[in-house]
Formats: sequence, C-alpha cells, structure tokens
Amino acid sequence: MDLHRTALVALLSLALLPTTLLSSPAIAASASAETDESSTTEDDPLQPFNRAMFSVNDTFDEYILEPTARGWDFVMPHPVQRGVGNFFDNLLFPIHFINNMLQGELDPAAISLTRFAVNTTVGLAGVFDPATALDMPIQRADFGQTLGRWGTPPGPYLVWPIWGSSNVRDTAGLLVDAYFGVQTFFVDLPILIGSTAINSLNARSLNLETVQGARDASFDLYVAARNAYNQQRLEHIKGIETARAERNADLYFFEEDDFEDVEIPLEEKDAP
Amino acid sequence: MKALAPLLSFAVVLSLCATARAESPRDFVQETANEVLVVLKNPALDSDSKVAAVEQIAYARFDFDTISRLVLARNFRKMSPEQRERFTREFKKHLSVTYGKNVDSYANETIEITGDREEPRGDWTVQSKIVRGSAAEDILVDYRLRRIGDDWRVIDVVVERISLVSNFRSQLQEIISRDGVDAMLVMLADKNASGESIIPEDERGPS
Repeated sequence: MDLHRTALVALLSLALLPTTLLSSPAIAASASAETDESSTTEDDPLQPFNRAMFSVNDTFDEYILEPTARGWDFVMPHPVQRGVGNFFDNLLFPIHFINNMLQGELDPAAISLTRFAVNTTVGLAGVFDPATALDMPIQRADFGQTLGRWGTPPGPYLVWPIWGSSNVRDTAGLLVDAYFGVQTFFVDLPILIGSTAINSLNARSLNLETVQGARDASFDLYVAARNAYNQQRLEHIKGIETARAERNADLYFFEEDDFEDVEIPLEEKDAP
Repeated sequence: MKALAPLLSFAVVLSLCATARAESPRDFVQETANEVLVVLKNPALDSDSKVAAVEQIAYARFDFDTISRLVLARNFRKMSPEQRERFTREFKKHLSVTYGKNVDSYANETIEITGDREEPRGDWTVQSKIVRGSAAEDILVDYRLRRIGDDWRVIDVVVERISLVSNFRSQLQEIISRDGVDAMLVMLADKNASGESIIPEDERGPS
C-alpha cells in the first residue's frame, strides 16, 4: 500500500508538469488568452487537430455508438439503465472523495463517503441510489478541477478520441483520476475496458434526445461543444459567483452603449 | 436633514409603487411555466398545435431583439439594419423550430422555482429546476430577465450552467470571422429551410 502512495505522489507531480510547462513564456505566447479560466476567451490554437478528432468522434457516434445505444435503449427497461448508471457512479467514489478532500471540501467529502457506504449496502452494490433520496446527492469532483482550484491554468482546449472535450490540465487530471479508480478496485484490464464500454453505451442511451437536440440546435457543433465545456468548467472551478460575475461583465452588457444607433460607414459593411 | 425627510419618504413611496405595479420576476417565470404546461398537458391538442401554442408564449415572453443583439455582440455593429432584421427573424425561427420539436417528449415533468436574485442594472435571475421524478435527474434552468418597458422579458436561458446566449455567440463569432456576415445569414436561412418550420412560407425572409 505504501508503494501505491508513493506512486500516487509521483503521478500527482507528473500531472502538474505539463500545465506548468505551458505557463512557460514560449508556449504561453500561443496560449496567452487561455491562461485565464474563461468561457468568453476561446482561443483554440490546436483547432485543426481538435476538429479532426471531433469529426472522428462524431462519425464513431453516428455509425456505431448512437445506433447501438438506441438498441440498448430499446431492449433495456428504463429502471435498468438507471441502475447501470448508478452502479458506475458509485464506483467513482474514490475519485470524488479524494478530490473533495484535496479541494478542502469537507462536507462534500463526508457526503461522498456516507453515500458510498449507504449505496453499496442498502443500495445493493450501488445499483440503487437511496442516498440521494436521503438528501445526499452525488458530489462530483475530478483532479482537473482540483488542479484548477489550486490555480493551474487550463491550457489549450483539446479533443480526445472517445473521451471528447478536455484541455491540457484536465487531461492530466483524467490520468490521475483513472489511476485512483483502477487502483482502488484492482480490476483486470479486459474487465476495465468492457465495463467502460458498457458505461459509455448506457450513458449514451440515456442521452439520445439531448444529443440529437444539440445537433439540431447548433450552427457549428464543434464550437457549441467547446463553449459548453468551457462554461461548465468555469463554474466547476471558479464557482457560481465568478461565473455569474463574468456573464454580467461580458455577456449581458457587452458593449451595450455601442449598440445604440451606430452609424455604419459603407466600407465596413460586408460586400453583398 | 429634516427638510430632506419628506422628499426621501416620497421617493420611497414612489419606488414602492413602481415595484408593486410590475409583476415579480418569480411570478413572471412561474406564470410562463404554467402557460406552457397547460399546453403540453392538453390531450386535445396535436403536436403541431402544441408547437404553435408554445411558440406564441415564447414570442410574448422572450425579447428576441435583445437576444439577437447579445448573441451578435461586436458583429452587430458591422451589420446593416436590413441584415440585423433578417438575423433576428431567422434566429427567432431557428429557436422555435429546434426547441418546438421537443413538445412530444413531454413526460409529466414539473417546473419548480428554487430562487431568484437581482443582477446589475435592474436585471433579474430566476432559478428553477425541471423535476423529472425518480426516473431521471433534475435539470437546472436559470432565466435571465430584463425589464422591457413595464414588463419582464427573458433574454437568456442558462441550462445546467450553459448560457444559450454565450453558446450561440461563440458559434456565430466563429462563422462570421471565417465566412462573413452574409454567409452566416445564408447558413441560418438554409438551416431553417431544412428543418420543419411551421411558420408560413410568406413570412420567411428573402434569400
């Protein structure tokens, strides 16, 4: 067990490395607008790579994941889908708990711990979620978020195959979280891959309408996904008040005075 | 100081009158939600009439001029009055077409107002959640309200921390900076034409 702890600390510092490197002047030049956690500065220096990955994911979703998820949705009764989702959420306990602690969020940490105890026993290995009914909702937390709260900038936006939206910091966080998750339950790789596939399939089957809605509603799905990710991460990391303040500063009153009857010089108009 | 007292109390009374006259932001959202739920729950209506009825409610409760200005942001200045008008018309149509499609997936959800707070310059945020029962997790929805004349109007909807205004703004910014305003307007019109719009053909814009 001690070896595990040592390995953990090593991994933690490794995870911090890439994001620290990114703050170095050379790379910061290309990613300067990204050093602030912000939903409005959406500098995306790796956009060509990201768009390629995004389209790979989109194609995978269209031809494999979505049709399979529809089949799963058709075969599986809704309570079973919920049960599968609950089961995998319950297994995330060590990740949530450790990150609650690392963020100094003691009440959420206590809730995570109690939830795990209640749902694993009364909730029959996590298939049911009596804890939520007892006013102990899930306290999601991840190591990318922890790094963000410790002041690590997000770095450029990144899209990974299968996983989807991320950034340099959250990718490092994901690796650390994956380590916590696997080490806690000591599972074999095939079981891990199989269960991850089932988890993704099940999660996708619970979001059939949501994803279709996003496709229909968006003009550029890649940008819509990037913006949604940045907005959610901003609030997860900087908190509700900061997100609200930022919206008030940039979104709802943005250059409002300039909007009033501005004379448009002809040359500024786009050619018809 | 004494001389100021009557003036002050007069001002207080005046401001009380002003608040009493207008509906509270919470009531405004609650009323809108009730109107929508009455339509969705009505078994006598078919999908098309439900979409049309919800659309009418949205047109009365949302301020699409303000929403258009906010999503266009800096690009608004670059656009001619004709382009702006065309954008507002098409964007309004886009929102009603895409969100109107959802009327048939209504499954007895209820809307619960969970809080509200004042924002700068008289705006207001009303927090709510869509309660989906034990079958699914609740969805958090915040409505950003602005006083337009004497009435409240919705100028943004924040669903699970994602502001629609912010999301559309970044998409439009990307398209306009890459392809220009005219191409963006064509794209928007094409997107609307390919969806099943229930707005009659003659009300559609040029292009």
